Amino acid sequence: MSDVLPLVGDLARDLLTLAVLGIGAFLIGAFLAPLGVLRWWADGLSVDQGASPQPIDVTVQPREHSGVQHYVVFLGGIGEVSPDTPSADEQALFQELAARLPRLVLVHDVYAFSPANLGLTEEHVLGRFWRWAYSSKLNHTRFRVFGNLINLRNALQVAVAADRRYGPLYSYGAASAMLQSLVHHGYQLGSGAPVTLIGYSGGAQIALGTASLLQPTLEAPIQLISLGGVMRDDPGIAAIEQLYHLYGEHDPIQRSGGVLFPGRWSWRKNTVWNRAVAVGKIKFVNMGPMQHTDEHGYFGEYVDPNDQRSYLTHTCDRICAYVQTFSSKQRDRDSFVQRKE
Amino acid sequence: MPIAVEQWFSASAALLIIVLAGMSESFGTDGMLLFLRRINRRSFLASLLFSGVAYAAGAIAWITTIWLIAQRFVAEPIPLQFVVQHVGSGYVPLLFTAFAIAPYIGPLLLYTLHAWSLLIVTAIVRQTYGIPLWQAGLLVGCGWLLAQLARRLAQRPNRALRRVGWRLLTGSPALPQLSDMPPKLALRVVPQANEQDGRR
Repeated sequence: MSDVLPLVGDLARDLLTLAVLGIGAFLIGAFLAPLGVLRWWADGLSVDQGASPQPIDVTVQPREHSGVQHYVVFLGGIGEVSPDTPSADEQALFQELAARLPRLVLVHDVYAFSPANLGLTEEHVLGRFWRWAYSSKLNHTRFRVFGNLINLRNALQVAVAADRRYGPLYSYGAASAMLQSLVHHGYQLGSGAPVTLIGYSGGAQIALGTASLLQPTLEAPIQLISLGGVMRDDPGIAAIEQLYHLYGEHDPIQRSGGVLFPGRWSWRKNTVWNRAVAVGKIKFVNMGPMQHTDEHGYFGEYVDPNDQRSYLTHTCDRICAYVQTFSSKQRDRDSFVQRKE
Repeated sequence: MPIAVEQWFSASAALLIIVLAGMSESFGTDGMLLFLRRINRRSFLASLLFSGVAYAAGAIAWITTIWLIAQRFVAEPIPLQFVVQHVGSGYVPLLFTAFAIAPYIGPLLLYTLHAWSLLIVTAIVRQTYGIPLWQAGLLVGCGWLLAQLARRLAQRPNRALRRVGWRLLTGSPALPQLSDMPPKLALRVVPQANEQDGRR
C-alpha cells in the first residue's frame, strides 16, 4: 500500500499538470480565435474614420435552373475542414434530399467556419498542418488525436459568431458567402423564392446569425432547420419565419446550447429566444434516441427496429416535410397576394 | 502584517503591475476596435500604455479612498505608500484581463478576474490593518463606491483628456467606441460575365 501511494500522488500531479496545460492551450486558442475575423474585416473592408462600411459587392456568374422554387443552404458541423470535404454521412443526406426534392437546389459549398469562406486546408500558413490533421483523423493514424484540433478550432469560431462583439462581423462574411453561392446556383434576387437554411451542430448558430442579413437582401422568407444545433438567442431569429430544432435524446452537444447561452434559460422569459418559443416560432422536434454523430447520429445508418428506417431517413423525412410545407405555404401566400392585386 | 509580501513587493512594482493590468484590460476590451481601425503597431502600443496609465490613476484614487476612510474611522495611521504597495498586489489577477478578447467567455472571464482581485484586495486590507473581514469588506466596498462617484464626477474631463491623448498618439480624431462596430449591412449583388467559383 505504501508503494502505491506515491504513484497515485504522481498520477494526480501529472493529471493536474495536463489539466492546467489543457486550460492554458484552450485560453490561448480562445485568445487567438477572434483575430481571424478582425483581420479579415480590417483587410477586406474600408472602415475609415467616420465612414460607414460600404455594402459588399458580390460578383458571380449565375447558373440557370428552370422550375426551381426553393433553395436550401446547408452548413455543416465543426468537424469540417473545407466545403469540399463533407463527411460521407452528409453526402448521403445531400443525395437523399436531391432525390426526394428534385425542384430544390441544395447549396453546400459554403464553409461556415471562415468568414472569408476559405477552407482550413486552403489556409496559407496552417493549411498543410490542417491537411495533415484531417488525414490523420480520416486514416486513424496514431496522430489522429490532432484531428480534434479541427473541432476545437471550429468550435471557437462558433463562439466568435455567437459573441455580441464579433458576431456581426462574422455573420457578414458568412452571409456574403451564402449569398454568392445562392446566386451562383441560380437564385434570382427579388424573385422571393423561399430559402431554407439547414445548420448542423455549430453550423446552426452561423446560419441563425446570417438570417438578419440574408432576409432583407433576398427579400424572401427564410426558414431554419437546426440538426442538433448549438444556438444562442440571436437577433437573427426575428428575420426567420420558422425555426425547427431537431434534437436527439442522446445528444448532449445540442443540449449544451441551452445551458451555455443565458438567453435560452427558460426562466428568462423576455429574451429573443424565449419569446420566439412562446409564440411557436421555434419548435423543438424530438428525433428519438439519436446521438450527435456516428452511426446513431442524425445522418447515421442505424436502422430503427420499430419502423425499419435508418436515422438518416428519419432526418430526411423531417427535413422534406418542413421544406415542402414551407414551400407550399409561400406559394399559397404568393397566389393570395396576386389575386388581391 | 503581510511580511512576506512586503519583502519582495515594492510600491513601484505594485504600480507597474497596475499599469500592466490596465494595458492588459485595454487590450482585452478595446483591442478589437484598434484592430478594426487598422492602427499601426506603435500607436497600438502607445494607446495601450495610455490606457494603462489612466487605469493606474483610477486605481490610486481607489486605494487613496480606502486609505482615507481607514485613517478616519478604522485604525492607526499607515503611510499611503505602504497601502499602495499592498493593495497593488491585489491587481495581479487583472494581468490576465487581456483574455477578455476571447469570444463569448471573454466578458465572463473579465468579471471573474475582477471579483477575484476584489477578494484579494479585501484580504490584504484585512491583513494590513488587522481588522475583521467584514470591516475590510466594508472598507473596500465604501472605497469602491466613493471611487465610482469620483469617477462619475470626473467623467467629462477624463473623456476630454482621453480624446486628446488618443489624438496625440494615433493621429485619429475620434476615440473608437463599441457602437462603432458595423451596423447591419446590406449586401449588393453585381452579376459578372466572367466565370467565378462563387467564393471570395
